[in-house]
Amino acid sequence: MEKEQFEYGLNENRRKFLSKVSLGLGSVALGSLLIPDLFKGKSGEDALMEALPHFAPKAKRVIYLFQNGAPSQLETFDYKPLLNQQVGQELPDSIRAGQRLTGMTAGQSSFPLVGSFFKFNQYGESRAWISEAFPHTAKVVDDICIIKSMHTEAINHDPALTFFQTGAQVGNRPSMGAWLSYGLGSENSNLPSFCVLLSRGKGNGQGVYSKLWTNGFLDSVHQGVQFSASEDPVLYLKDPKGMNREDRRRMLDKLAELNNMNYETFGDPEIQAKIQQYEMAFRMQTAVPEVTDIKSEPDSIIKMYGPDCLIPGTYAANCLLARKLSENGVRFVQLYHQGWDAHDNLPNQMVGQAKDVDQASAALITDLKQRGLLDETLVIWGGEFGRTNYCQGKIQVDNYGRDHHPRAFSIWMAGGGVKSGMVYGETDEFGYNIVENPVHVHDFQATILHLMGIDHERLTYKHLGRRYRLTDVHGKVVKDILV
Amino acid sequence: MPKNQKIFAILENSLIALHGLILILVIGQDHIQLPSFLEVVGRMHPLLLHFPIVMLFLAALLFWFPDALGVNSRNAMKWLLLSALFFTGMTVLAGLFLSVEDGYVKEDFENHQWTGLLVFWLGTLWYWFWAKEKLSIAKGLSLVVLALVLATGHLGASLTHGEDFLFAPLKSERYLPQVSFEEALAFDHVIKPILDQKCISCHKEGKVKGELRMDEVQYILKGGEMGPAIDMQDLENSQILIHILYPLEDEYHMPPKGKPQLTETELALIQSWILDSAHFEKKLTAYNPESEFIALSKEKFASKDIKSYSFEAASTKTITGLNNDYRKVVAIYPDSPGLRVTFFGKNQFNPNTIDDLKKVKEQVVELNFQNMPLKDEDLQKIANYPNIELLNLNFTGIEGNNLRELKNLKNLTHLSLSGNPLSEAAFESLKDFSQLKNLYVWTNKNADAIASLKSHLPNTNIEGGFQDNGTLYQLNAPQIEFEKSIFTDNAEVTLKHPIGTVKIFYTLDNTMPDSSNHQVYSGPISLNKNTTLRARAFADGWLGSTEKQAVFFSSKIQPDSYKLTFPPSESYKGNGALTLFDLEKGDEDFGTGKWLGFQDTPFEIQMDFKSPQSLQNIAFSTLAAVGSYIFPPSKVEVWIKTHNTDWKLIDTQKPEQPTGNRDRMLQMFETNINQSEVTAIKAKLTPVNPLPKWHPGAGSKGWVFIDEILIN
Repeated sequence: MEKEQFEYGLNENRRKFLSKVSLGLGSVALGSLLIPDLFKGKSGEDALMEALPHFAPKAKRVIYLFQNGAPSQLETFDYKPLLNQQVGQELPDSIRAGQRLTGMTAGQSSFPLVGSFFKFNQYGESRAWISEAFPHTAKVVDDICIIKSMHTEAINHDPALTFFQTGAQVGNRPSMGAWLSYGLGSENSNLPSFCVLLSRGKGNGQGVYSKLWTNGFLDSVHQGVQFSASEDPVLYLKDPKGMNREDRRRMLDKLAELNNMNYETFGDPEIQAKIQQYEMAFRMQTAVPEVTDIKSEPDSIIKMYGPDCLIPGTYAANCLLARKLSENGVRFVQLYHQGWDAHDNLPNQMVGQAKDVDQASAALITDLKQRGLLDETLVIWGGEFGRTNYCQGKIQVDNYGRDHHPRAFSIWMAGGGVKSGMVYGETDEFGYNIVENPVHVHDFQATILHLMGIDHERLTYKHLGRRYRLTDVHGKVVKDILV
Repeated sequence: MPKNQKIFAILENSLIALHGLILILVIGQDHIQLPSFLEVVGRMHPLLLHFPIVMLFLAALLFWFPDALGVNSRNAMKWLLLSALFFTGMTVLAGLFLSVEDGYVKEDFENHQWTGLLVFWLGTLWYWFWAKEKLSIAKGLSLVVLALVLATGHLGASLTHGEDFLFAPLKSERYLPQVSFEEALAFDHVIKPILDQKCISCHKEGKVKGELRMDEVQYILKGGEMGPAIDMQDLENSQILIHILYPLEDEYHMPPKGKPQLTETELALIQSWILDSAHFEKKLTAYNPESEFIALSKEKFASKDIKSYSFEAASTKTITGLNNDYRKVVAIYPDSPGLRVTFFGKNQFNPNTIDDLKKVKEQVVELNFQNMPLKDEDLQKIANYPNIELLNLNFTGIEGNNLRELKNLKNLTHLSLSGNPLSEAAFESLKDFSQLKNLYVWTNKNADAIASLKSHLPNTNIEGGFQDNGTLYQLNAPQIEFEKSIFTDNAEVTLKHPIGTVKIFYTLDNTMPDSSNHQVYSGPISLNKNTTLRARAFADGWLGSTEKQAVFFSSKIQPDSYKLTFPPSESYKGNGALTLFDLEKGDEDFGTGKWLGFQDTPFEIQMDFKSPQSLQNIAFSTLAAVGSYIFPPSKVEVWIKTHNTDWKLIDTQKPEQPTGNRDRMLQMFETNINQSEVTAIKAKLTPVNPLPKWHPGAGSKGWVFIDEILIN
């Protein structure tokens, strides 16, 4: 009897204990239902997103015409007559000042200066100097802001490109377009907010890699969507043969029903996200052909951009497509045009490259302007670094090459809150060092975010225990070039 | 079990459940996503909270003075305290739900939340110690709980009724409304907010460090132990300036190290304001607009509010309701009541949906119909929105016969009509739109009308856009499409041009197509021998295109077996010797695997035929990419063996070598054989060694690249 009583007591206690524990656990479980991402370790980034943009944006969209391989500033926008006078003379050590060189010219026994093969003239009200290789750009000079004082940290293509796009030389960070997509979301819910278009010139080319439009540690919806030059600009978007739109609709509806059943069981918001993505893809099936259709463009547009714009995959076609995507609400359209890496044969390659991009780049400016869209669209033209003022390899007046040069190079920006008809920054008479208003890559990035209404110090994402941003811990908005 | 006991058990168990629930919600507070019915529970917080206040006080009364009430105090006490705690728990829970809703700033309610939680937790301990008869601890706890109830109540009231609601009548504080740049005062609206934020926590009534107060202008002028904070006689030596400019490490640097520092802009603002004679009452507009102080101040205002509107913002719910996949309605920038409306997807567009926007009639300031099919009568609908500033009607197809409808939109400053077949009447009515700052009317046909419009609207920037003034542009070259440039029987070639109306001229005899020698392309061309096809495009209104070339090779005979004497370089080994007979021409990109590369060893191959063959010629398709160290071979040698003779060298070529840099090119080396009964061929292509002096790689070995061997 005593034993039974003892056991009863134990049982009683155990039962009570278990019931109370289960009650407590049950309530915890109930509570956790209200906190779907409790164990995901995400922080209050959503709250941050609601506050974006941080202030009134000047630009609503960006079109970035990236000149992949690094066009020479000395044959485009940075006029240095001294180099023509001193052809063959040695680059003074006082100017080079220990600048690190790439493996391609580090072994050279001499660094003979070489001047531009192309003549320069002054254009527009701004009287900016532009090389004769860019006659169309010269016509829109009063709409653009030429920055002659860009500088970067990397001396080779891959790190320099990655640095420009992601703010770090090593590639694991989100690219600029992904940051903007993350910060501002999509304007048009039927198209991705970040699109990438590739083209290739005849000049010496350097690779472009998908890491340049990566979402990094951001959600994958922010990744750049690469449009291909084939019949299907967006791969896998078409319905398979034999499936019509009604069938697809019915299939998606049924699929959504199934997914919703699962959602009701598990409450995982990723399931809802998936349903939404299917729906977006469905809408893209009509939106993308509508946007990419160039047949509806008037003849004068074809003349403006040049007839190449009718050939998918050319720079001109991509410029035209960029305008169409942009006017349809794509936040960030990123072009890459390969072929600027003129280590040798520069004059010849420059002619070809300039022919590829000059007319279409200028046409894009004019086209946006005549639609009243230039004010709200930021257009950027430029490469990842500049080129040396001395010759790589054997020097000839009409045939020379230039190596990579990070210390000073030229880009231009237009529209979207940037002053027009302006030339900003100055290099020394050798075109080697910046003497006035340097603009670092992080400053450039901070300025783009600023124009889009974002404080670059406040657009952050917590990853691996710290908050990351596009400009790392640097960057100052270049206020002088803002309207 | 007596009824009482049952209820006690239920209450105790609910208490445990509440503790669990509350604990988890506190831990995961930032992640709570409430279904709407729980929001209702949350909103009962202000109702529920009265219960625990009263009941906890009653319980304390009963606890301290059990005899005063003359009831069975133990049971009554248990009743009261348990239900008080139950309601406390419910109140806390509701409070947590409420805190998730928008509109609460965490910093504001944090203290309230923690004191409330402490009431619940310590209250439960009070009950526990009381039940365990540990009365002295219980007594102590009861007092703490009561104090916390008061504190929680006060903090809660501050939340709903405003900061320091209770004591507000005892203070007189200046209330500063938000002002626009035009109304702002230099000190009150620019400088003082900085001082309030960064300085006065240590320099105010009750905490007068360095004997300096900065909460009133008079004290600032009076200064502290070091002298006037702002010295009107000697502005440069004002103590504020001196102290904020000391380096951070300096003992006298202000604000002290460890406290929130002035930002660069704030420092520059204070500095420029003081040096610009430290006006306390001056309006910003009275300053020189070019001055640094104004440039910096402007940013502060610009970032908040660029334009103020007289209308109220529409409710979030209304705005959300108007958004769908093909219509975006968003504030033009954060906190602005003005709305931007954009339509997307012309196939989905229905002009009648414009009227949905009537709910936000006042608020719509930007309307974008670009590319949406509109009719002229739809303009009447648009005229209903009185505050429109920007209207984009590009490529909507309107003729604009009743553009007049929009004339009364007084705020319309930006009108885009590009790409529309605008009628004369449209241009006529535009002459009255003097409110416009920007007008975009590019159509390519109305140069005269635009010029006349410009004279009528001198203050409007009128953009006529690109005008096709008859300049002849050059067509681009046609495209030559084919499956393989090397064929065994014949090749089918298609010529294409993206502009459908062009004529494509072509030749097959390696001459430049022009007016005299060409054939006009009409359909696929069939080729059956080695051919160079050259094509150009022509069309009216364009200059003839540059030419496009393609070279086609026949390769009728394949060896039955073949063997390379030396393997190709590890980096460019393609598919081995098979690559040479796969009829796949490589292009100028030599890294594609269609090319074999040789540097250290020559390219040498022997090809055998089982049955003796009658052969005309053999050709080697090679690449020269001088910049990449790929040169034409220094020597090409060919040997043959016939049924009845041994190896015989039949050809030796020494290809011309480049003398300077040049573009990549494909090169064919051909040897005539014209021999029957051939049983084997041997060929050797020797790389250049060393590279010539002019080349950057002078002295090192050159490469030979080969992608195909053609035998006919």
